[in-house]
Amino acid sequence: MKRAIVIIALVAAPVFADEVYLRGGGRFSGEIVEQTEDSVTVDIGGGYLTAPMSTVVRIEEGVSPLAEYRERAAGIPPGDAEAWRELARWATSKTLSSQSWEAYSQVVAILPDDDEANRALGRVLLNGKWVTEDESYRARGYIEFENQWMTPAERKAILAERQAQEQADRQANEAEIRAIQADIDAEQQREDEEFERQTSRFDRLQDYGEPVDWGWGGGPAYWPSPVVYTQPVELGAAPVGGR
Amino acid sequence: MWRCSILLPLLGALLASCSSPSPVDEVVASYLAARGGTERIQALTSIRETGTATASGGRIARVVREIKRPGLFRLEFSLQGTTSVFANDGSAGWQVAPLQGVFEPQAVPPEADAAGGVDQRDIEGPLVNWREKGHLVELVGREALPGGEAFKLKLTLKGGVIRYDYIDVVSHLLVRSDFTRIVRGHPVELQNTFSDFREVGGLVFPHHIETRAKERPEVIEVVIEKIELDPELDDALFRLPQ
Repeated sequence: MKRAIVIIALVAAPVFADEVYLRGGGRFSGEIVEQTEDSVTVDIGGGYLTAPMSTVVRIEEGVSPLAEYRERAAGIPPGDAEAWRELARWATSKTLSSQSWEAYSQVVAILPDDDEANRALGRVLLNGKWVTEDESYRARGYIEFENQWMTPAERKAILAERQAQEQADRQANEAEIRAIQADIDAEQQREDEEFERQTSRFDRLQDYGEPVDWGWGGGPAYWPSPVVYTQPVELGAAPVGGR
Repeated sequence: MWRCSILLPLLGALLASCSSPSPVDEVVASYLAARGGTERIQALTSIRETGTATASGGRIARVVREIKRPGLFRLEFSLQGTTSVFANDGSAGWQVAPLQGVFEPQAVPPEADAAGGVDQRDIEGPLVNWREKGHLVELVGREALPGGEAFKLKLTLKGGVIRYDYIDVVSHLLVRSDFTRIVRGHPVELQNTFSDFREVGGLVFPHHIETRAKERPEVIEVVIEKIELDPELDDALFRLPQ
């Protein structure tokens, strides 16, 4: 099944450009590459989403922004930076980040010092040279630690905190071993479970993405961390993650 | 003696009632007045804000945030052809997030609920009638921020969460709010900066919001393009679909 879907994605032109509506207001649009009784797989331009048909309220036919982007991109003559710029702006207005990125990359390929395109790609002017966001962070002394940019001092503090916690846990465990040897295995298990629960709780918070606060009334939401696939996969497969 | 024991507290209460407002009450009152006044704020029944969020790596999203009394919250987050919904019906949160592989609306555990905190679903903000809401507000100083000096308020929210609000001494508007969140078991101090204040229907709102972790380089920006006051919002929008 999986192989069949991949083959379709690789060799077949997009058949539909539709919007898939889910219960509760969720939806996604793109180009349907596969639809069965059980599921629908859509190329959203930054990966593939496969939804069970049981979750789908309806599918509305139409031309998705992604399909329009691809059609317009195909018609741009080589070397036409302004056409790519216009398309990039349009893609940005449709929140098609991947396509915006692609189009602005085309602009930079033609005009390497273009201010708008470089900034849109997250690049930073450093000592007269455009560098990537990551390179700029490194140049400013930040380091990447567990997918987050921070100061070396913060990383050191995190590691020290963890070490202290581990030591404290170890000491507590040893004390318990001395005090009530008979109960230690059961107690250790309980503590491990609690630690695991706490850790998974925090991990889950991270999974929900970066926080956004609003200041007025209702507060933080999160920038969702996408979990999309670089190619169609069967339902139930483990997510491969993403930013 | 017994007369003293009765009269002294009475005298104290009388003096307290006659004295001028405390500094913290003055700062909060000036802030609420700058926002449009407590009466106008409390008359607000629902709100819808529409804007654009951008983050590092060229990420961009359309956001629609809706809040309705009492404590109903819904956020639609659209990017890359997908729309996710994060909502709270006043007591529990739920989400449907296709980009995260969540196609069926599902309940969200309280600790992971984006709008789980009672103050976060408070359409008025926690400083309106903070005593009645069970929060504690203290004036802890005055700090120089890039845009000018600001009063620093420490808010201990009902439930124990602490945040720091900075009220500009000139405009009396909330220009920054800091709070700490646990991320992967480690406390991260988040700074939210508010600017581009504009009046909508007699109330003043920030139209530019910037969120960054202290001493970290990455920034998330939200630009509010449209604010609708008292839109009709069906309660069903906020409930987990059955």
